[in-house]
Amino acid sequence: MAIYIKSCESISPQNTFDTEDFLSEIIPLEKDYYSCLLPVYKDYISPKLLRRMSIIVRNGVAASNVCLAKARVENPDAIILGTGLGCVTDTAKFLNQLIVDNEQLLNPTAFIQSTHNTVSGKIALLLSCHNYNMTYSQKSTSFESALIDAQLKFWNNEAKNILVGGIDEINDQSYNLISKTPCAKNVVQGEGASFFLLSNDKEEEGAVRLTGVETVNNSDININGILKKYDLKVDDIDLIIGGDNSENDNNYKSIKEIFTNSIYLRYKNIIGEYDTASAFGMWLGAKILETKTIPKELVLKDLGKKDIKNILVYNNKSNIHSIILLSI
Amino acid sequence: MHNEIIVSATGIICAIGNNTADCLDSLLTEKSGIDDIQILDTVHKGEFKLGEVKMTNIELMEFLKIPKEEYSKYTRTSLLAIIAAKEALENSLIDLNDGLKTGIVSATTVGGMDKTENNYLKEGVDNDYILSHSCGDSTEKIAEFLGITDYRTTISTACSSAANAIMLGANLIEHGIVDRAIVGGVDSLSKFTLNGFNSLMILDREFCKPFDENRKGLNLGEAAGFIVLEKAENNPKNNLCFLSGFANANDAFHETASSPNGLGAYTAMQKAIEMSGKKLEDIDYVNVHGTGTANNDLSEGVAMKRIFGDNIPKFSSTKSYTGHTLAAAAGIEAVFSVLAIQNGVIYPNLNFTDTIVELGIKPQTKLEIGKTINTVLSNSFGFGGNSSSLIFSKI
Repeated sequence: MAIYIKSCESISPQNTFDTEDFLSEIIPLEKDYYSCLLPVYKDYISPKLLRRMSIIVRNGVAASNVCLAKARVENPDAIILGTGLGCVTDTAKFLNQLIVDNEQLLNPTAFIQSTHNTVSGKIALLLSCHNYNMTYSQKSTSFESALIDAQLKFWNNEAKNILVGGIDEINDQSYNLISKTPCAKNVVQGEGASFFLLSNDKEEEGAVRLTGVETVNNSDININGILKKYDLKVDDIDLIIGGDNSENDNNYKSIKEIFTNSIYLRYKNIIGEYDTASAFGMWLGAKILETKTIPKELVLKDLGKKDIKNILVYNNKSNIHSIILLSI
Repeated sequence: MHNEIIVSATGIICAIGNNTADCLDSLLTEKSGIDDIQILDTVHKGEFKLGEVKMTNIELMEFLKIPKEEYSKYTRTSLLAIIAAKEALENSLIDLNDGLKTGIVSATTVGGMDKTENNYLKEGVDNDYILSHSCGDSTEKIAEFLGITDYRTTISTACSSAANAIMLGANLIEHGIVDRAIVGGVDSLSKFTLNGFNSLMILDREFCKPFDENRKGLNLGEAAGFIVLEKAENNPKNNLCFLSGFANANDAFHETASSPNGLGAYTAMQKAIEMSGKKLEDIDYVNVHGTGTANNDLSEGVAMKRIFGDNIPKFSSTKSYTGHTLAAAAGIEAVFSVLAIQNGVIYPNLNFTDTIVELGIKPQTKLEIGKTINTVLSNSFGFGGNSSSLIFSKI
C-alpha cells in the first residue's frame, strides 16, 4: 500500500516554516548550538492559548496546524509523535524548583508540561481529536518509531490521514549536560519540529511517497537486503541524505562507499544534531522531490543528476541505524 | 485479532513481589505492598505512603550479577525493567537463536529520572546519568542484557504507556516486523514524580481507596511488568491466554483531568471490546485504572456505566496493592489479568467501604477464587487524554 506525504512543515534553525523559499539562504550558527528560528506564533495560535504554552508545545502546535491546513485535513485519524528528550525546558524547570526549594511548595505547571506526551496531547486537545494518539521516545529512532507505527495503522486500514512529527528542544541547561557526554564531542547540537500529514489517498499526480522505514540495532546493516524488500537496487537511489555531523564523519563512511553513483547531501551542518533530526532529513527529502531543486549548500557530492526519483535518508548514531525511503 | 496473538509468559517486579509467583501469592493473601517510605530518599518520608520495590539499587544489581565497575550505568528504572523482562523471556522458553525475530517494546514516563535528580546541578559527579536519562535507555539496557537485537522502541504516553506498548507489540507481530515481542512498561519512584503528583494535590496520605466515596487520591508505586506476545500459528511453547482486543483513544478534554462523561475511556473500552469479538456479557472481570483520585474514578465509572448499563462486570483496582506505577501500570495489570484467567480469580479492591454516591457502583471487595474467568478487560488512562484498553481471553 502506497503512503503519500500530503504536506510537510519544519520549524528549524533555518527559514523553513510556512514559506515558499527552499533554503536559498543559510543562517549561520550564532552560538554554541542551533536554536529554532521562531515563527510569529500568533499567526498560527490564538494569543489566549499561546500564553500558557512552552516553546516546544508552540512549535508542535504551529507546525501541525500548518501541516493540516495545507493538506486540507481537519481531524487526522491518528497523531503519532517521536521525541528523544521530550519537554526538557519544563522538566528542568520542575527539577530546579524541586532541588532549590527542597521539595516544598512546588508549582504543578512545569510538571504537567514535562511529560513526553504533552505535545501530542495538546494537539489532540486543540483539535478535539479523540483518535489514536501516541508518543515514542527511543533516542535517535524516536521519529522512525512514529513512522513505523503510522505504517501499521495504514496497513490495518485504520486510518486515511495521519499526522506524524519529530520534535525536540534544546536550551542552555540541556546543552551544557549533553556537551559533557562523549558522543557530543565536536558535534554541534540543535533542535526542531518537523511534521508530516501522511495519507493513503493519492489525490494528485506527482505526490511524494513514503516508501519504507527501517531501523537496525547493530553494526551489521545489510543495505542491499533492505532495498530488496522495497524492490530497489543500490543504483535506483539517486540521492542520499546523510546524518553526517562533519564532512568526514566516520559513521557514514560505509554508506558513501555503497552508494557511489548517488548524490550525497548532509543537513546537520545547518540544524545541528538531536534525536529527531532525521525528521528534518525526511522534510528535506520530501521538499527536494516536490520542488525538484537541491539546496546547494548541503551537497557533499554532486553528480549533476537532474531527475531525482528515489531518496534514502540515512542516520547512524552509535551503531543504531535508520533508513527512510522516499520516492516520486 | 481475537485468537491470533498468544500471551506466552509474564514477568513482574513491584511492591507486592519480585516475580510472578510472589505477586500472585500477595494478591491471593490480600497483602498490599503500600507502606511508609523506606527506599526513596525524600524529605516526604513519613508523610506519604508508597508502593516501593523493597530492594535498594545495590541489591537489585547484585541480584542481576552486574559487575561493580558497571554500576554507574544503571538507573533504578533500568534495573526493574531488566528483572521483569528477563523473567518474562525465561518463562516463555523462547530460544533467541531459533531464527525468529524478537522485538522489545517498553514504556516509561520519566526514564532515568531517579538518577538524574540526584546528580543534576552537582559538580564532580559521574556523567553517566546524562546518558541514562532518556526514556529509551532502559529499553536498550533490556535489549543488551537479554541479547535482543531486533526491533525495539519505547512509548511514553503517561499512565497509559504500557498498554500502548502491548498494542504496538501485537501490531508489529501482525505485520511481520517481529515474530514475537516482550512488551510492557517500567517506572521507578523518583522525587520528581512524587513531588509532581503532590503539587497536583492528588496524593492520598493514607492508603488509597479506589472507587470509594471518600477517596482522597493515589499512592504512587514503582514497578516493571512485561508479557511475551507470540503468534498463535507459530505454536508457542507456552500458551497462557489470548490478547484478543485493544484500543487507544484520546479524551481531548484537559491536560491532566478526565472528562465528566469519560469519552476517552468509553471509546477505548468500546473499541477494544468490538475488536475482541466478545459480547458485553462475556467480560467476567474489569481491572480498572482506578487510581483513587476523585476525577479518575468518577470519569471511569461513568464510562463503564455508559458501556455496560446496569450489568457492570465485577471490577477492582489492584492499585490498592501496588500503588499507581505510572508507565508500568498497564504492564503489571496485564500480568494480573493473565493471572486472573489462569487461576480463575477476581482480586478484591482493598480499602473500600463506601460506594460513590454519584455512581452507585461497587467494586469487588472479596477475593473470589475457583471461578472460570474467560475474559478480562484492563483499563489505563493518562495525562494528555491518553486512554487505552486491553482485552485478554481464555484459550
